[in-house]
Amino acid sequence: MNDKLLHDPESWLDEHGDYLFRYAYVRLRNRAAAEDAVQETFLAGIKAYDRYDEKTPVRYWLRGILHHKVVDYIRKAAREIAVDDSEDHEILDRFKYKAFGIPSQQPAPWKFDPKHAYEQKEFWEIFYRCMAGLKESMGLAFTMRELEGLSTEEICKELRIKPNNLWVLLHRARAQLKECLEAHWITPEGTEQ
Amino acid sequence: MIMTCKQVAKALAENRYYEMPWNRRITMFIHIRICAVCGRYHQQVIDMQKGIHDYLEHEDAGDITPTLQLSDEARQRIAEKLKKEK
Repeated sequence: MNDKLLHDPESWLDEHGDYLFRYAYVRLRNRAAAEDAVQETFLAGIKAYDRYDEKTPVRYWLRGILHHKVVDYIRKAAREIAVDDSEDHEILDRFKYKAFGIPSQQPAPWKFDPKHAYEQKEFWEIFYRCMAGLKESMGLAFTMRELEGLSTEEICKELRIKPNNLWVLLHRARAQLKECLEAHWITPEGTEQ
Repeated sequence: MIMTCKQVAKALAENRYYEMPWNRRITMFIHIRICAVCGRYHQQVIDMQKGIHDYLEHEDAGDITPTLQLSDEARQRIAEKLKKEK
């Protein structure tokens, strides 16, 4: 039996609905938007189904469609929010980034060993929750850069900011993510750090 | 070729460490290991990028399953749409 028959669009919701929803939610951080994106993905999938070539599993094919829906949503959201860069100069000054690209203050060390944590299955659910908790412009920039791999130029254009402001947004996002991980990840007992 | 602190910062701001060519990663790795000025900061950036890189691999494999799913209402709405559109 070929893949097309095995993957009737009516079965997509049960087989891939939650997977696609989780993919969208961690990127959009908005339940209604993520659910809409999944719905639009399925509808676009039905329309494009004739072109599905079975080379990739249907889940990844649908995820490819969802990726575009997510980026479209972020572009629209980016137009509606004003990026607050009032603290950016302070951060940039503190880092002397423009001149040397180096921080003048060393960051606090990790409270756990990240390399060890990355080997623990339970860690990734906390990582997911912490990424899903990033706020507004910081979250949008983080999704575009780190999860979707858009270029600096593209992101700056979408958010209408300069590269230095993007750097500050990503710096803040990483700091918040680190803080959240440190607050929620407890190294399992009996394992070495 | 030895990289400067600024070049490391620029490279990490513009590219994901684990997607860079190995020769670029090696020169960056050497700088970060020996640089007392920017080493710790950029090591943390790389640690975080490694986390994101590994997360995306786990996401690909579908083995991250947070207790989060479509709401019943959305599920029903999507099911109805799918029936109509099919």
